[in-house]
Amino acid sequence: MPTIHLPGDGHVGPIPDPDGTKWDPYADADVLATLKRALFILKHNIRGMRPCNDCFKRLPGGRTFEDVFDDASVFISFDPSGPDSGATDSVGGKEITVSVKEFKVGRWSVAATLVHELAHVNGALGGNAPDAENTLNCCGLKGLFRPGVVGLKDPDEPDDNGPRYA
Amino acid sequence: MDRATPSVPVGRERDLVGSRQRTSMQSAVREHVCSVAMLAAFVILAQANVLACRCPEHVSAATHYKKAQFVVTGKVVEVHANANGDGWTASVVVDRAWKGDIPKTISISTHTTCAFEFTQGAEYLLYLFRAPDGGFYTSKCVGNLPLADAGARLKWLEQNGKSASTAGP
Repeated sequence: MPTIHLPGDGHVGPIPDPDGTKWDPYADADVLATLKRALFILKHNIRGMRPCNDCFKRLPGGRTFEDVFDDASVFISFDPSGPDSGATDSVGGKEITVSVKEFKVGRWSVAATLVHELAHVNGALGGNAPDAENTLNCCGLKGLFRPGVVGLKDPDEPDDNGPRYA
Repeated sequence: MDRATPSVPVGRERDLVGSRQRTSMQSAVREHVCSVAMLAAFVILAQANVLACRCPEHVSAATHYKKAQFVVTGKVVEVHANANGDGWTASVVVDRAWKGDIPKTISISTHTTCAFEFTQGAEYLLYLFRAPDGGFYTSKCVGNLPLADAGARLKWLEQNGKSASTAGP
């Protein structure tokens, strides 16, 4: 299983990005509990799922979901302030961070974000490539699949553009 | 005659009916082809529109504006890959600016799996942050839009944003 970045574990994550994305340790007990519930979903509902393993195997890294999920050298950190749902330091990197925004949604959303980021760990390209998010469709998380919505309509803002796709 | 007389109109009618049937069939085929083409276009578009970076949903123009340090419109004149292979750096000529004064030509870097993909020659509405190297930084989920899609957002900025100046070369 990936390693949870905890206070005092000596792990040094990437330096924060200027947009506020951070790789902090999990210091909040409630947030940590949600992360553990999300990892429980991945371990018991998704790990071992053949379509998910096949989907992951087709990524540039060539490893199954099980292989990537069982890799303890992958670290999961906490992002209290960045604009993304989650990020990995680079394609093929091992430093995942999950945004506080997803923890507010709940454990399933955190689980979906982790699958997406684990796909990047397995070499799924960043930028406009769809591979990472597409893994949700073969990993039993179709309902949490998120198309590239950049300017979703905000009900409080009649001026907002409405749905926009990047 | 009784038979012959109507034979011409019947023949014509047959032709007309046949023609109508053909027209109706052609129309149905055209509609079917159109539907299939539209479905294919939608599927291709939907595939292309999936973000590599997972962005939060329901983020308003106000939130994007509040979080950014600078908001600009500008044209990308050059893009190159970062030396470490992670992300890109773009040179952008700024047209308009909000929130903070900014040089006319700026260097914007972007990295991680949430790097923003610049296209050389394209114009964007960009939400920026000051980078440690003195340049600027942006990423996928901060609210950037191609300028052609940013009409309502620009209107919002004109009404609510604090106009800033661009200076220098």
